[in-house]
Amino acid sequence: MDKKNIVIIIIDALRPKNLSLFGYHKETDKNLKEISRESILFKNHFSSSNSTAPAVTSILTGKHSENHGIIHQLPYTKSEEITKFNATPKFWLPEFLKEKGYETIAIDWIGLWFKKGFNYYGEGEEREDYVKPSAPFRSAKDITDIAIEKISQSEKPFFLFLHFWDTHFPFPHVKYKEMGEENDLNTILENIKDKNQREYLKKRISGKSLYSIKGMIDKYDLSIRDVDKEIGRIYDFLKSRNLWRDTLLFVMGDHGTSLTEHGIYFSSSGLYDDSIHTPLIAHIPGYDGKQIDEFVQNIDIVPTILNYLKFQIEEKFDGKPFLQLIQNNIPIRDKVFSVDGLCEDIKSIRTKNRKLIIAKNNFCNLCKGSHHERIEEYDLEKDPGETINIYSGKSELMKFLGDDNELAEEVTGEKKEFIPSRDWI
Amino acid sequence: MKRAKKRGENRVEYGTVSLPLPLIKKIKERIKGTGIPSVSAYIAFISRQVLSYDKKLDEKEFKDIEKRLEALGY
Repeated sequence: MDKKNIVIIIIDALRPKNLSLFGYHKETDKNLKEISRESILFKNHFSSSNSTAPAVTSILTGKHSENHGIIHQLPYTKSEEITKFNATPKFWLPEFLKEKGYETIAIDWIGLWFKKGFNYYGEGEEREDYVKPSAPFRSAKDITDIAIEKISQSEKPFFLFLHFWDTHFPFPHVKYKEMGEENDLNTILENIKDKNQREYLKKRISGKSLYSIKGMIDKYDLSIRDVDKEIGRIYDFLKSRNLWRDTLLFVMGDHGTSLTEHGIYFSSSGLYDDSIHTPLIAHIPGYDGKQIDEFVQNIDIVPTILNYLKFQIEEKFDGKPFLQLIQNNIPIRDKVFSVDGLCEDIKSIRTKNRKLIIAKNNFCNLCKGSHHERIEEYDLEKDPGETINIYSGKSELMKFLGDDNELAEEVTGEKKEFIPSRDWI
Repeated sequence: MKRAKKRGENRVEYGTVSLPLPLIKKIKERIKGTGIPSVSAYIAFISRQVLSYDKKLDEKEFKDIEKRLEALGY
């Protein structure tokens, strides 16, 4: 086979903190650990967004939200964002690979622009034995069954895109029943100061037989274990068919999640690390397994695939190929940039030891509350949990936003758009 | 009482678009005998068809997606 197969697996809302690969006390990730031995484990992979629609669009375009157009998560995506996305010709990985002769397969349900370029996009609705799932999405096991069937039938090299949603609250496919002995949710609800946030959480957990934070975390962990098991099946299948050595595999979270941190319960709101730091495991044939601590972002996936497959195209990506980083340990970026897809207008810049978060409009479309002050800065060395805002009127990181444009706007009233310069992306 | 319309109030304003000459030639051939008066009218007709199709498709899809997202807490 000349062409390599490509598999991208998205585990929704997966955060590193709940994987033993990153030091978690429970082994939720037995198969991911095994795959990591033959792959590159990126310990500092950050998403360009804290929500699915913009993040997955970044993964498939190699561009930041500002440059592909999708900034907000569905259903809060503004019609002008979709218009901009549809109207601007741009690189789209599935279309590109289809043109290059790949069988393009996606098992997911969002549709809309995501289905562009896929020979198959769906959750098996066309099958005779199809039963509409009781949950909003099909289980990891069902998704894997369909995926294995589709790639078994493919006579061409394939691009498989899988999106596992089991890890998204309220984890509807997890078999777990709480008896209510440790009921602490009422106390939690009473302690939430913001009325809108309190009402939102109340509505979110009502009727779901959830009584405690511990119970919810247990469910999250079990959902990761369920997905991990299915990824193990895919890995075994690729090995058994001698496809593993001819397949590039990327397993990643589209964004992270806060379980309780910062008063954000089981959602990815806000731009704290919990919401944007996600695992990335990349199996790239010819490269031995190792761990990398340098920064990478989801926008780097497309340039890396093109670089590896030796496709040269005229397109300006925000992402950079990370093959040199793997081979020679040459860093590709010293800072990462993210946009909030749930709140109206919040952006962040993060270096290894500092983070600056700028909230022009901190209204959260999800809970109707807010999660950030107007400007926040954290010393991540002393305060990795981002609990003490040290911003005092000036920040070293401001220079990356142009000429201190936020402050200038406050002082002069002159509006400057915050668009990341390609020089530092 | 209805306000009297000023002259030209509902008139649609037009702009100019550019098309490659070979394409214009092909369109001219295509619309011969169809009753479509001009290349501009043909392009406007096709564009309206495409845009209305996209909108209908998106609205139906959006509704289904919104329902699923609502169940996920959005």
